[in-house]
Amino acid sequence: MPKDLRGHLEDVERSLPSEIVTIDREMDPAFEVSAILQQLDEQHKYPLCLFTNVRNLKGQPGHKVVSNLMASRRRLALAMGMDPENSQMGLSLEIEKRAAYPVKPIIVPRDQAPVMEIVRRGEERDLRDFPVIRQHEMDGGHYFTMGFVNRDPDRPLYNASHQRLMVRGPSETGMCMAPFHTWRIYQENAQRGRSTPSVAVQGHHPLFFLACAMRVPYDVDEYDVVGSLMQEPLRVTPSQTWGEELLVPADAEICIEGEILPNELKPEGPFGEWTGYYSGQRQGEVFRVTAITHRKDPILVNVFAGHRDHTPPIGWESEVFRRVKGAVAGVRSVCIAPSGNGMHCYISIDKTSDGEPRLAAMAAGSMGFFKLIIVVDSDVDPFNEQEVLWALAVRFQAHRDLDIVRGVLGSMVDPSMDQPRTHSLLILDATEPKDRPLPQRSRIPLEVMERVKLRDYVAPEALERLR
Amino acid sequence: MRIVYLICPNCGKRFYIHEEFAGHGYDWFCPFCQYMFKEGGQENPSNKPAPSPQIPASTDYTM
Repeated sequence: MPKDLRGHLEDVERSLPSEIVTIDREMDPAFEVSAILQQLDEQHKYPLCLFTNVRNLKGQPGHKVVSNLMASRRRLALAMGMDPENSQMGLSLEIEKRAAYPVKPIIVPRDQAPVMEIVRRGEERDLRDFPVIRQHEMDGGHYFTMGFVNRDPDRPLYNASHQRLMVRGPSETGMCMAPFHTWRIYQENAQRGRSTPSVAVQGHHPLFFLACAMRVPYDVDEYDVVGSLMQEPLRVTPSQTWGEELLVPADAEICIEGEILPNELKPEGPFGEWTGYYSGQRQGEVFRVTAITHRKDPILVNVFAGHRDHTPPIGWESEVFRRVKGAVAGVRSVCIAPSGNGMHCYISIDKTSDGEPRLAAMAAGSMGFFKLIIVVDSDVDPFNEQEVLWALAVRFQAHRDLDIVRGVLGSMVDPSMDQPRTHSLLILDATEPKDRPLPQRSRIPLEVMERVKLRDYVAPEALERLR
Repeated sequence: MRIVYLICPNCGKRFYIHEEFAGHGYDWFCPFCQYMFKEGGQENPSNKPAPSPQIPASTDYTM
């Protein structure tokens, strides 16, 4: 069976049953789904949530929404076919390894594409038939939040990204593109007075969306990246609007075909973004829908913006690792910490000289997104933030180990920026200095730790009760 | 990100726009009541009430 969302839901149910919850009560797409996700978040719980009875934008109940699809590294490891326990650097390195070997997609006829089971064109195309979520109080409307695919104007080179699409009516949404590949394609078309054929993919296997979140060079076809992550060719099929000129993922849940209109702007937003703040209302591009295709009883995937579910950086760790490896051979691990919503990066290295932490930080900083990079020794787990902060407490001196790089390209939705598009990067070297001897870390004798096991002294049920 | 606050002339609630778009006389809409207006509080002549509290009023001015 080709990889798809439904298969992933079954995998999680079977292998990680404590990480999925089904909610059958009728819910309003405006704020109610977010309220449930927020309360789970406050308990530090991030289960894959399947809402089976959400009203669509016409008030009709019975529609399905999945959220927290990307909220767990363990479930992403499972999606990769890996041991969920190997979900830290092992996961990122596997992503890096697979991405190096592109797998070309295969084209299947429309009648073999589940996403073409229902085709809506002309008057039948109506975005309000879907349970599009309105997440936060001041959001400008209901937003589609998942994948967005278009291609180079002159070459069959596919670009996949995440884009927010604000529903304006049956066949139109607003857009807010960051100046990356999607925007570049739009600009090239707009300069020629042409619209940009695109497809919004609102439900697929999590590795499809992981590929959408990865930062790969423009010349890399991101359908190939999906295939490399899945370790099988992505099945694609001709779109209803452009045929083989724009291929769409055959095993998606919902594909919204449309075009970004050239040189047309309308008010869009606010939207509660990944920062945890609203981005202000702005004049944004217009996406006009030409056709909607979907499976029977489709499942809409929704990213809970600004929360654990909104963590594309998992797909960046491998790229950061690769860049740091080029500068410091002894890099051990890279973590883009959830606490910084993507802007905090912790790097552990086997340090051989005092200059290496700064080299590692500069290499990671070339990603252009981070505002804080902390470099630690390899005895510190960068995935354990408490350990990282401990290293900062005992190995770092601000007058000696701190650097600020000013004027780095940042994100336009960072509320702390006082200059358009630039921020500062803080580099903290929390490694032990090499120029003088340091005392050893205190520890329990290893032999005793091996011999005296907690489970032999405290019963498991008692351990479970303890807080 | 620098922002400029706007006050909705219909419901009186405050929201904000990106500074770079301020001062150009663009149309804006209130995310709370969906009222369309021009910067400075003038009503947009094309303004119509939202068809449903679940649908952004922008439905009306873009279709």
